[in-house]
Amino acid sequence: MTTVLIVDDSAVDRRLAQGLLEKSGDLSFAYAAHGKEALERLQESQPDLVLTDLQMPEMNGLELVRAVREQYPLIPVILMTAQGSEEIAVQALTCGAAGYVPKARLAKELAANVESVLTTARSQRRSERLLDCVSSTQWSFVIDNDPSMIAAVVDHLQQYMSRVGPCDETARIRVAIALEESLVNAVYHGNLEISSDLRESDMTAYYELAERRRQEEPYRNRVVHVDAAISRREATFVVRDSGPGFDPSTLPDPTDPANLEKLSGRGLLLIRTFMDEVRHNASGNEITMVKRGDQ
Amino acid sequence: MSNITRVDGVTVFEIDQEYDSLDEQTLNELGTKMLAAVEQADPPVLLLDLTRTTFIGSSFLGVSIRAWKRLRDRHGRMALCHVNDLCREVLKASKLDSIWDVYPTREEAVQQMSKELSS
Repeated sequence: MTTVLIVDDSAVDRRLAQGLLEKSGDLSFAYAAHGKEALERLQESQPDLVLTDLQMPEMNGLELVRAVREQYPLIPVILMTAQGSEEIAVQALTCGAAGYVPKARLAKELAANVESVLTTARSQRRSERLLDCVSSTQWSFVIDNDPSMIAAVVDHLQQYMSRVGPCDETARIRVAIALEESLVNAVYHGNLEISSDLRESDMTAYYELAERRRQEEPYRNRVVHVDAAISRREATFVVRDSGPGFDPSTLPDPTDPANLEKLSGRGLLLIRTFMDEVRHNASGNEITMVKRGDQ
Repeated sequence: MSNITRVDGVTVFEIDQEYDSLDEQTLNELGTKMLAAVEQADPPVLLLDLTRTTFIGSSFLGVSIRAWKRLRDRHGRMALCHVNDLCREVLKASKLDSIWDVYPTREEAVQQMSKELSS
């Protein structure tokens, strides 16, 4: 049965809210007199929805919204607000409240509002459960040379690595580093054809040249293809740029004492350190990286 | 905003969490700040405090190498402290732990570096 936790320091108002909701469906109720008590109830058992007053001793409604949002993100909270507290209600929505109903309009609006939020929450919970059932996923992106897209792709794939991927959090950060290094290489060295030597001698000139080439032919039409296949067993990432490619064997070994202070080659070194398998295609403009499940 | 302090002759550069990033342009900004700290370091002894850094990549190594080279030109030195396991792994993989000393805490680093300054 759907449970609503009603939080209000006034027993009369709690009863009133319950009465209004009882008419609209098959609901059960739990009660708390303030935010702190509500959090204690939530520890014992989790309701489907929290309906809370704004002004309460101990912990007010706004603080409760923040705490529930942080600790129980799938439980929606609706605020009951007194006249003149619209500004706080807006603040509550910003903090993650699912809605608010002015106390003056409870009779008219509470039941409909609760029903609507419950429907949305049920759908969201189903989606979350379904995502937990995903056993593998594939993504393909074609991105331009805007560096902000690199972080966007890595963040997106990280989300799926944490849901479906083959490794723990520490290994996921390693994968993120490797993936980002490969994308930076694809954009700056592959598509924009800018050498690490320039970065070594003049970092400002390096970024200025990158900015200029993003607008110039033939660089500006070049893209990076990213293909990812993530399963519980392994994750494979293929990053391909549209540049002329390079011969990885010509890169200086950055761990050679003679090259320790050079900047080039470190990205590929980290990719090789953090991934289980790394290979390039014949023309050198495509890198395939594989991370396998923890043995 | 990265915090720069001077303790017993050692310039301590605490890297802010906003640079907990692999983004090249963000790290370019860090590099500019780090180089400014190097220019002002007198004596040229710099300690990078990674307390708030959870991961680093090649761009971070790049800006650190540039700072280190400037210090070396002035016969100075650079060390790191509060380096977590992942960052340590990156340093080890790139063998940079062989040229930069890594200390567990800021206090130990400052103590050792200032001792070497006075010897």
